[in-house]
Amino acid sequence: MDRVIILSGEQERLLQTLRDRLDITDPAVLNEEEKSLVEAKHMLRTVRQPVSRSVGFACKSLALQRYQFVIKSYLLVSGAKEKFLFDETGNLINVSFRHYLVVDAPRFIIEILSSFFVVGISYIRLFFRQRKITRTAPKGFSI
Amino acid sequence: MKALFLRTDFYGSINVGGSFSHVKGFLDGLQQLGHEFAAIASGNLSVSGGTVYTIPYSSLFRNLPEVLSIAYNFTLLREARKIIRKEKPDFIYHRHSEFNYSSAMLADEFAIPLVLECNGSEVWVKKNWGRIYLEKILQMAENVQFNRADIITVVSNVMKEDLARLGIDKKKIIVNPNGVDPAAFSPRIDGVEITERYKLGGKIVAGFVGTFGAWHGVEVLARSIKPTVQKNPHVHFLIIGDGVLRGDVERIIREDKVENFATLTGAIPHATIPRYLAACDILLSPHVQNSDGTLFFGSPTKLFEYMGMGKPVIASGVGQIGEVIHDGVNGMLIEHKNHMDLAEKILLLAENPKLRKSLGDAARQDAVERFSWQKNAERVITAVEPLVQR
Repeated sequence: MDRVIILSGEQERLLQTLRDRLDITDPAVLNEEEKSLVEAKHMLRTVRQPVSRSVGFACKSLALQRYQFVIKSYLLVSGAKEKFLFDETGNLINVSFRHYLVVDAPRFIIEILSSFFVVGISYIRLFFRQRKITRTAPKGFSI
Repeated sequence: MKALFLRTDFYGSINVGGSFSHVKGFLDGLQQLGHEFAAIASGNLSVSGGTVYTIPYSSLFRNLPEVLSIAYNFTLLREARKIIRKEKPDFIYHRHSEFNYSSAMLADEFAIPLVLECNGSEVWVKKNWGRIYLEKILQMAENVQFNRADIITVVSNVMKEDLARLGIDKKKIIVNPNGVDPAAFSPRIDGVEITERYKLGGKIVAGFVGTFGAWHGVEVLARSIKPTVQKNPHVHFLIIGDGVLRGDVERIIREDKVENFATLTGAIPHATIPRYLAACDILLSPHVQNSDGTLFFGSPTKLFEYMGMGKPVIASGVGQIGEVIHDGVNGMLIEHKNHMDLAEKILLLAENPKLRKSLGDAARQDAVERFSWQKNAERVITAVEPLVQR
């Protein structure tokens, strides 16, 4: 059994990508919103029950698809033999443990570490801007 | 005058839906008035007449979308400075987006007026339609933008009141409803090709176009199909577009066993929308109030595009829609979330071609006289002109 979880995009075009790229013709199709990706229990159930021969996440555009590390993590614990991410325009990423460990996980760690810098600098900038506004605002003005 | 237009949201390369219509419409309107623009967008912006600079989001932080948006300020500020020095705009026009505070900093640095187009508080949007992380930063960025902006354009009175409650000076908020290009959306457009493609000949076609957002009322639309076609099987629903709730719409249609009475086209390029609308006899806008019980604050572009086509519109009277559509004059209003009311109004119009014609003509007249994109741009120019000359 093959299973596809559609996050965004048009079902017909996405299924066409599957037919063209992987010769999968009749997968079970589930629809999920991107915001559901942070609901780990729900997503684990979705990818694992029942365990399928192949599981793929589909989206409108891989270039615009966020949370790819999280998606790959779900796929890797899905128990499926073939795991992939693909989009309407025919792009497809096969997900493997090796790539996950060597590329995706280190990249995610870099993202987390760098985010402290980005958020910190922005907080300081905004804090001083807000203080300037509060000082110059007329009496009774609130932000 | 020359505007520097900023489209900074992550999905800046998506050239479909109401947000893109708004961007394109405003920039076209600006040019029709004899003004110039340069634009900065996070993706490939399909507009003509001005220089478009693409400044993409970083490929890092794709797993941390909030940080991705915050980090975009760094890239944008660096690149936008060079662009401003080159283009020398008279004012910045920024389409407000989450975590973005760059235009406030640029306006200060270059001492030029900032017009902020606010289509909703991002804090509210995230809380109600998504998930909110780093709320403090989101709120700070929004406050900085709202307070630095010389003019804030909002699409409806409801939103103006919402912003005023946040402490923003009402005098700098102007209500600027969305609009339509009356030449592109016109009764002269031919829909024969679409009628033939979807085998709609001899049917009364009730159409909807949209991105299936939570506020579009697409579930109400889907539920209205069964009671409509049970009484008049000649009515066919043409549902144009794609989005998160499409699966729900398909499910309702399947459960109600009305698959033969509805066609879902999927997403189509914006330029082809008029031909699809031209194939319809009645156009639907069953918007719903916000999920948290607050009033609908939007200004649906589709409503003005429907009106431009000179077709009769059936809409729920939520928020601004109730101010634009006058029941029985330039359209018909239905009770919010009432699919039976929607079905009744569709049936009434389906059987009354004269009424369809008179409502459509009145809607077209309003679209041309009050709701063209040129009028939309004109309201911005009128507001910003004294600041530029000062």
